[in-house]
Amino acid sequence: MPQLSDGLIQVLQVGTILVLSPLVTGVIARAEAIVQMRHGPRFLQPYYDIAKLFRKETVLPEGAGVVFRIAPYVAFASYCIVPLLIPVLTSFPPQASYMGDILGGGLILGFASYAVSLAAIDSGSPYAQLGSSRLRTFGALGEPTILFVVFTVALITQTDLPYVFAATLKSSAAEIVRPAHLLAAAAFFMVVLAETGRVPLENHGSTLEFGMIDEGRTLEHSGPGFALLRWGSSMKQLILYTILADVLIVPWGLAGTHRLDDVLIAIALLFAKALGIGAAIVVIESAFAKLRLYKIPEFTVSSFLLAVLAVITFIVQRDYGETRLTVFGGIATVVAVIVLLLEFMLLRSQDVWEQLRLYGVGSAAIAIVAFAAAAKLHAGDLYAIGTITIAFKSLVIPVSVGAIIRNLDVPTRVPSIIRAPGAILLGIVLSSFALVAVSRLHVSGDGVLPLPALGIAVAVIAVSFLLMILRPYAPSQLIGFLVLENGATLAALVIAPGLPLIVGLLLLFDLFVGLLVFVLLVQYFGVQRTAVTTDVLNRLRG
Amino acid sequence: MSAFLIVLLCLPLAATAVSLGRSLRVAEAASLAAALAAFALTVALAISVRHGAEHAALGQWLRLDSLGAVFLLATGFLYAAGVVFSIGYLRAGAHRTGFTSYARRYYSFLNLFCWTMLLVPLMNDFGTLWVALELTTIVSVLLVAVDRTDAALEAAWKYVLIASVGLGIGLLAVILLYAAGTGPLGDAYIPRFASYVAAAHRLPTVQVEFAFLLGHRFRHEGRLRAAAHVAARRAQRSAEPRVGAPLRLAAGDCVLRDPSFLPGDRAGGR
Repeated sequence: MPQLSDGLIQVLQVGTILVLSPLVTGVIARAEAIVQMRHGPRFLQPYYDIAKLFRKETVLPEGAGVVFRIAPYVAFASYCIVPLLIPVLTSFPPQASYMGDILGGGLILGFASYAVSLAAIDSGSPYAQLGSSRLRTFGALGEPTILFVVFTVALITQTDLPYVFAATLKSSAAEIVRPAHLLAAAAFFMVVLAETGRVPLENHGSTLEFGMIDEGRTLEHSGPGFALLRWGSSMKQLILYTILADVLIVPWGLAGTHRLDDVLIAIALLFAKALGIGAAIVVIESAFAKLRLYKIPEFTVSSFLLAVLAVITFIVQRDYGETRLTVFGGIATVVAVIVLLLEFMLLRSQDVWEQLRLYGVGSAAIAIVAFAAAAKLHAGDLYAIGTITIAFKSLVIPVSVGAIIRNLDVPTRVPSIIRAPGAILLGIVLSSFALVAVSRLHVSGDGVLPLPALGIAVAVIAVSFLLMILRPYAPSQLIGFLVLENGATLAALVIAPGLPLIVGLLLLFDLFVGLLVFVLLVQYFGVQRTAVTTDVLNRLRG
Repeated sequence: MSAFLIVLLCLPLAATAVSLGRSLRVAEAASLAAALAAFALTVALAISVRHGAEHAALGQWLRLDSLGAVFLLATGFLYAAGVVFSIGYLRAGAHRTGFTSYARRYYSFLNLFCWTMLLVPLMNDFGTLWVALELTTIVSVLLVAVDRTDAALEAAWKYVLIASVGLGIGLLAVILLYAAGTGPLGDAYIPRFASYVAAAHRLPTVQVEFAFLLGHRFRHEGRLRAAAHVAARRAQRSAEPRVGAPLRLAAGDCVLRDPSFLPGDRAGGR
């Protein structure tokens, strides 16, 4: 099998991004169309679009200067440079990758975006200028988020070279399931959504100028310049997916040698990983609505605060001591982080149906932990019962509470006392406090128990208080209590493997919650059709 | 004396069962008899544990020491006083429609509630103590909501939230304490107070302190609960004058519940 030189591999890195990126865009667009019961464009449509645009003539807006004309080339060149710096195909760094660290790559991406924004202003078109000013405004929080994500990973790996990031993560799977790393990856995923103009920030490919942010900037371009911009935005998307996959989530599957077949396999795997992330994006684009423009800062603020929480989590990390990675520990940590993220979504959510759904998803995730505990212990029948109970809870409680609310015919909007960014900030403060408090506990686990997950579970409990305080609305308070119960369940499952009494208590607690919900609340909501806002309870004050 | 413990717990249960029957008179008489007998038993038990003596029953699952006797005595007294007061209090509303079924429901909940309250100071380990507290919450919620008026149900709602939050935190405290004990006591042990006291110097300090910090929060919940009770009582007094009695009794529950972690404090503060 022929050996490839460093230079050839680097050409291939750029070439892979160049050639594959329109295909990734096309596949995502087609998949999204199929999910949404439309026929959709061909997979190869982006290639046809680019080819068509290259054959068209360029029309310049009146008064547009040299900035407008060279911006597409500058942007395209920048997108061609970045793949040299990040691990696209190989796990070892080819020579040119030492040109810049991950911040350097970020700067080049930022420069490309800056050039396009300048061109938008130079074009004199109001829509293009609107797009570029919006992008600057909302992007102002995206950049510190990336910085904090980089800091987190740099703290973990002691360097900011992307190849070394990936190598450190690859060296031990324990690094991947660190809560700090998971939170950073989640924050970066939110940035990717923002940077590639996806729901909930922007309808990708919409033709409505008022809602445009990223796409609005290129409205005035035409001909080969526009082709380069379209191609460039596909490349940017694939570059960000590559960073997310190869540096942050799954640094496996990169070529370890110079052999041609390894590199070819790496190309195929890169495509598969990009499609995996694309699948997540298809789900998000189909399941969520676009945010109102004024709500977008909430999204960017949330991603920034998550990145901050990731740094804090890392700082308290070493107080938890070294933990050995087990399958159970990995699952428990990932689920704990997911439940915490869902809770932040609950804090933001203003719709009782959405809250019920989020609660159901959280309970189902916890059922997975119970199942993992059952599988880990050979005599785990108690855990098996626990799995069934929790899974049951994730379906029955949301459905029945939903049925009661529907019968009651009450408003389903649940106003929060303070606005979402403030609530999330408070939530981050509370979770940091919980993480620090639990890190001081020194629970004796001999490195077997996933103790960081215990910290996250206590954070879930702390934030659930906030959830109950901020909503003067009985069903939401109930959901807050149920989330608290989920946090206690999670904490017990993390600490309990092999402690049957704890699991027994846990089941009793679930039973207790079930009793409360079904006996009392059915009576409360069903028999008495009283107002369900707890503001009314103010007359019960002393 | 150990048999007294079991008899003491059987009395309110029997009264509950009888109160579900048809006759209101019988319900009143049974409740009164059970309450007075229970009070007499608690006095006898309190006297018998004066000099550090202890009683255990049902294979160490129930245990009474001199500290527990203080709370048991208070509960027994409130049980008796509550039932005596309730009889006169309920009769004031006897002319209303549906009074008999309401009163029977009320007496059965009252007796059941007193049973759970007597259970709490008799528990011998953190697991069952927590379960007993859970039971008091469930039953007292029923008791607060017994009127089925708007005000009663709202009070119950408020009560549920505060009480169950405290229980959730209490569970976390129990879990942490249990985990703290796995080192010296082995993986599958019963978290008895005595075993903690015996192993006190080998328990990890910070963890136990944190568990008791949560336990304190749990106790604080008792105080909040008192506030909820007072609020509920006022509202109900304005809406429905009949149900002051259960709430007054429940105020006693707060006093009792508040120091219910005291036996544990001995384990923590070594």
